[in-house]
Amino acid sequence: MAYRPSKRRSTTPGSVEINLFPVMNLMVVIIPLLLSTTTFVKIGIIPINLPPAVEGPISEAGLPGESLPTFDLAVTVTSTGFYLSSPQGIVQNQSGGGPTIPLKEDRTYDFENLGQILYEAKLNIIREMDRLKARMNIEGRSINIGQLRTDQIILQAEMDIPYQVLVNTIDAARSIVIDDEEYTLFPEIIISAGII
Amino acid sequence: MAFIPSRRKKHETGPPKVSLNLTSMMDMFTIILVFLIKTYSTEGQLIHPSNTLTLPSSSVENPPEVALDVVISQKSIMVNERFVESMDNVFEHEQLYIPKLGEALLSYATEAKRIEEQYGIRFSGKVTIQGDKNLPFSALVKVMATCGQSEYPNMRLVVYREKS
Repeated sequence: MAYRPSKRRSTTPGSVEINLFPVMNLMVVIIPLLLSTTTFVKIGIIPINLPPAVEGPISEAGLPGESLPTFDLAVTVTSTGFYLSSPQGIVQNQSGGGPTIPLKEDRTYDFENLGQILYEAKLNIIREMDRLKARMNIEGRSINIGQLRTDQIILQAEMDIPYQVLVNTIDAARSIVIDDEEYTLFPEIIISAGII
Repeated sequence: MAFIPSRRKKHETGPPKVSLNLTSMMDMFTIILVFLIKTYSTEGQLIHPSNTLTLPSSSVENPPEVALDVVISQKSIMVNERFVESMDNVFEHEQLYIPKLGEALLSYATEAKRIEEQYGIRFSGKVTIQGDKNLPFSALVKVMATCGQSEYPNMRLVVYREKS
């Protein structure tokens, strides 16, 4: 007689469980390891390159070329706001007189406005460059564009301006974000000691 | 009459089986793991910010570089974690050039140049400047001018990156 399983004894299939302990062991090791080696503070650097101090007579190559316009744009940080100046003069604000970009009402610096004005200045410089290049082409002269240095900006400050304000000014001068798009303005910062 | 359990039948007598439900814990660990791997940087920490100061924050993207370390805290100037000059003397000093810092930098420069001659490791004149965020501009300018005159013209200002 063949074996017939009992109809009364109902066998329910036991729930199948994966053995998670090896995975758990892995996790317990990996997570402390990653936690201990992760650096949460990210550090960056702002490169500022000075020409090396050279002793002796200045060579011919170091002399500025003939009447090439240089856009020596300068930002001066003072306790009342920013002064923006070029060799032609100081950029005036709407009311005339006082700093180009005065402090905001809550006595903080107006970096957004500074970025905006520098963006307009950069556009003007690019336009001027194109005009100059066109003129040089007509006259048949070649021009070394590298000599024009359109990426430079001179930064000077009053002696008691905190370092953080200076760094924020460098940030505002380096690039601007308009409509989620980043535009490079003046990435080459020259820090001037000014007059002590 | 009381019920007497059968002695022949096997009854479960030991402690009851306890099974731990690990699924929710696994979920948690997986999320933490993904987060940690995402924030993990392979380059490690090249510059260790000094404990004596708070660096300014900036939006720069440039990654840090290894170079000679100049720390300007509120109290003192240190080169490669060695005390060089106190800030009080720096503020009293009228000239841009800080003599003691200049001497220290020049000794490092001559050492680096000797290594350049012997082993061919190029001397780049790079220096990283860690300054406190409340440091006045005059102190910073003096240190930078001294670095420039002491054969370290390539300066890197160390900042905290605000955005990743």
